Amino acid sequence: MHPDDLVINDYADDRLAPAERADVERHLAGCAACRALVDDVREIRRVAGSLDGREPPVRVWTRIERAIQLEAAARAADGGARGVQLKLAAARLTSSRSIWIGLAAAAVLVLATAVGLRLLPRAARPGGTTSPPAAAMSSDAAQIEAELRQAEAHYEKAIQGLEQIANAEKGALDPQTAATLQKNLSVIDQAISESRAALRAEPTSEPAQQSLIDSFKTKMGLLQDTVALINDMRRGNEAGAARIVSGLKPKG
Amino acid sequence: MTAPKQRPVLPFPSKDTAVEPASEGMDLVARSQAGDVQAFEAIYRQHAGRLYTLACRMAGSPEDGEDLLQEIFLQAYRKLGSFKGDSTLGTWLYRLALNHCLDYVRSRHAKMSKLTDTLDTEVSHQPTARRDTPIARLDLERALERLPDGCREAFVLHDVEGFDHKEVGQLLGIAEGTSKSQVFKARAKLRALLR
Amino acid sequence: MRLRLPVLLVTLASIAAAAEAQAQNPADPDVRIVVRDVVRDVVTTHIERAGLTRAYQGRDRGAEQTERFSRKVKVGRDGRVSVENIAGEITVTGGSGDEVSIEAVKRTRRDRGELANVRIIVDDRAGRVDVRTEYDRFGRNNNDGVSVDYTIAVPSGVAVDVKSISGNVKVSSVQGAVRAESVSGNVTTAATPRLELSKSVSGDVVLTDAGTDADLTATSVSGNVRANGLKVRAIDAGSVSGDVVLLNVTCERLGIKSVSGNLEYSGTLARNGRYDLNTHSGSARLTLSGSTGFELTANTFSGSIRSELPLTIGGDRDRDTGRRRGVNNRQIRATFGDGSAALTIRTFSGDIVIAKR
Repeated sequence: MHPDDLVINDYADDRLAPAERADVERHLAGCAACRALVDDVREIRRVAGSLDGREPPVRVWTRIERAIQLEAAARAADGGARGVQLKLAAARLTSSRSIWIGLAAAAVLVLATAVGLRLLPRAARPGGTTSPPAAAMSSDAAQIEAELRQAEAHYEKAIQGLEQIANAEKGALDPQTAATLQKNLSVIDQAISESRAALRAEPTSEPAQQSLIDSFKTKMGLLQDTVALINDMRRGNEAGAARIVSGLKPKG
Repeated sequence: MTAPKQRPVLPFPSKDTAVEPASEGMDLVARSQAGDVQAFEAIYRQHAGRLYTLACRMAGSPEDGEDLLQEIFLQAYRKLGSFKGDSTLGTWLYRLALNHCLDYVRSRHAKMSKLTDTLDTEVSHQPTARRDTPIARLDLERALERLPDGCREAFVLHDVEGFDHKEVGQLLGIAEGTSKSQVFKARAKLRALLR
Repeated sequence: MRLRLPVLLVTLASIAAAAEAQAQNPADPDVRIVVRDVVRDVVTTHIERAGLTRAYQGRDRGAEQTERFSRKVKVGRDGRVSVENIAGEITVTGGSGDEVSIEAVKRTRRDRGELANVRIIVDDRAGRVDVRTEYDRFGRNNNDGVSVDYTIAVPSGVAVDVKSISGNVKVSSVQGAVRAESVSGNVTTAATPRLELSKSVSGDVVLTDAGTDADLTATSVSGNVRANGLKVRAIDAGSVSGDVVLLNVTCERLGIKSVSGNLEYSGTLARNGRYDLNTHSGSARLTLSGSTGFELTANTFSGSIRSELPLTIGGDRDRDTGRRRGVNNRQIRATFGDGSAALTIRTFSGDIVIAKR
């Protein structure tokens, strides 16, 4: 006669009082099935507690930002009236980031206004995730590559922006540090071009994709830190106090 | 079992996700409230990973998790005015996300026909040989997606997120005992899926 | 990472403002050239600013003029001491007593009068001592070829925060929270059970007998990061072109990273610990003592993966994940022992080695 499931469950979680625990242990001594159950429950709990986190796809922020902008546009346009002035919102959309929004953006806009800025049904989103099972394999691969290209474009823009800033604020760094940073940016660029070459040869290679993204992250991190360093130096000079740099970290 | 095809999730260009000092969080909040979308993006970068992970597991799929994540952050943006700084921004966002996930699952559950709540007793006492290989995280993640609503949330909150049964009960609006039985039901189902 | 968010926000704003979509250009030489040009301009402009050049290129003109400074300040046994310097060394050593003893030497190879343009400021408040170097901003240039070397003795229980731009930083035997940074100097710490941060840009970061009850960050850009004797909960260590070598380590979470440098971890694994190693062209080597089981995920594009420990390969499961295996994919999911710790190792072309102590 096996102990009740919930008792076994509590036993596995070490929540039983000593007397009950002893009872269960007596049973377990002679019951392989229950022992296996306890072991499995504990294993499941252990693994569940150590699961990895995940990163959301690139497109999520793009949509959030778009929605925020549309909302702001709606508020601005008619002083609180429900209608959104299509022109105003459209102007914002086309002036923001990626061309890949393109026509889809127009559709987004229409739907957004139609449903009062709620989330769009999945089918209407650019790069929607559903795909017919028959074509699952190839659309999967195509999807990954499309998302990778999106991520690349995103990073490249961010990187260019940072380089512009670094250029504009030049003069604040000493030559040695500037040279060090330049050299290390080249190291990262080397990694980027190797990853790209690998991807051209093997477009579906996960390690190659991962390397490319990692390298972008590292480059962006280094540029961010460089800009932070420049700003600190400059602020220090202007204040006439010895402000010191912090926050430098080549993390991806 | 045939596992659903898993697309590798490409890492998002996010910043370092270390917990921010309280003062920095407040600064970003203030700016976001003033309409600075870039400040809000910084908040997003810091917290999206954690909340996306929670949303995927609570909702039961990455697709739903993605929808939820968007709604969560949009709601956060609208409700930022009510963040007073008496907890960290991360905690506030987590609570908001959790509530959102729970609302989402509850409303979805209500629409579906009531699932039977009885335990699958045959599952738990099937004579089983000891597992000889440990469970891989990826397999557990996938198996999680196949759990029915109800026991999945309890399991995620208890075994994954680490709340105790009393807290799970409060969060889900169920009795502590119900939390225990739901968690066990999830564990039993996972056990069968992972064999 | 004390990232300056306002700067980043400006950055993102400029992106949004300027952006039409770029055609995705797989050829990246443009990016590299832009970067080179940017930095070349920076370097050129700088050389024209004579003063700075001298300050950073050491003392090689005329006889050295020095001026000493000495001050003792009482601070509680668990007070805070901060030191900020531009050019010159900082050495902080913990000891007994409840006083901060500051010895500083101003140096220049220029005219003795230059020394007066540099002031050593000691701010003394309840429980805090803040020391910093100030340059007279009406001088010809900042950093007029004057450097200041600090040697500071502190009560061992204080918290210490030290920063220099171009000078080595050394902190030892301090029990309170320690943060130590330099831009072009080396950062060396020893016997610091609550080390939080140790950073440099072009210098090496060396840790000996460091601990923390929270998270430790140790990074450089071109220098190496080396540690011997670490007992921490979590450590983030990285470099871009330098190596990261951590020996005699006990930790629960590890993140070490380099682009062209090698990674080495020698120590134990904690049950349920997480260990991430990521390098592009360097190698990643783990030497493990103890018997903690782990689940290994190792990816490399063109490197090799080798293990001295017996691993159970999770081959069949991988078939379900839909991973496509090409000629250049080297991916392994394997388990050692009970698989309790999680090991994730990624390289692009470097080799991965798991060795047994």
